[in-house]
Amino acid sequence: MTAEDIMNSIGKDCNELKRQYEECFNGWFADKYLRGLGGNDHSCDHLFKLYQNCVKKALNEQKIDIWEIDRNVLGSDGEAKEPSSKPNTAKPS
Amino acid sequence: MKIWTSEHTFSHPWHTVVQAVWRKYPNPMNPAVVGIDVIDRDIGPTGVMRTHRLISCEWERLTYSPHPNQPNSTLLKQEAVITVHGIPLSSYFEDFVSRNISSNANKGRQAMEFVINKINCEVQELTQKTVKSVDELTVNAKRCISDEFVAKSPNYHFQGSK
Repeated sequence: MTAEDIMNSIGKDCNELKRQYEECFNGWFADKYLRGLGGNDHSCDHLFKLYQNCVKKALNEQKIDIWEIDRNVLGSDGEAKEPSSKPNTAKPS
Repeated sequence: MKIWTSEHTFSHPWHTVVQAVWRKYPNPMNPAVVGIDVIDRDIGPTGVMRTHRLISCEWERLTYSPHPNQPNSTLLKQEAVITVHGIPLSSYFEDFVSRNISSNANKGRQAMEFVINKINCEVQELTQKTVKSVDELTVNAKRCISDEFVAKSPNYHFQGSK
């Protein structure tokens, strides 16, 4: 696998965990999953868990609610409330 | 209502392209993307992989201020931070990104001119006539917009609204 440009995580502290997980995932994806052998291979699961815990913690700390975008506000109780003033640069992709 | 759809063919096999999807960022064409995370991933009973990703973007900074030298004018300063590193021909890509941003900035300015013109037309209608109803204001303003805008921007094709 060639060296990758690092793409940051939403949590600065998660960058290294993200890098480790993605290196594992990219290898597993190309060598196992795409060849129909991925099903019972859990070699990346541990790294995934570490990375995920870090990301969920960062989302909590930055008060980012990823399901906010899917919520129906008009016509509900939330309509009369002021939105949070924090500028939100993250969105689900 | 129209939904935009498109189909595109990459002249590469599927297994190559799908790997590129996971490794799409960073790339020189999307300098505004500053972070990407997998926030959920699982494989269903049929072997279908489902991934939920969170993308973090930082756009440009725009500052509008009264023009220091020209009366009745407004100065717009735009800043975008472009970081392209770690790839060959980075100066070529930085140039590419700059041109992309310039082109988008131009669209943004045209958009502003469009909206400013709309506001001016509405103000004009309000000050000139005794308006009988809000509908009449809208109709007259629309007429003003198409006349004014087409006159000032010969290259802009103004389509009637639905």
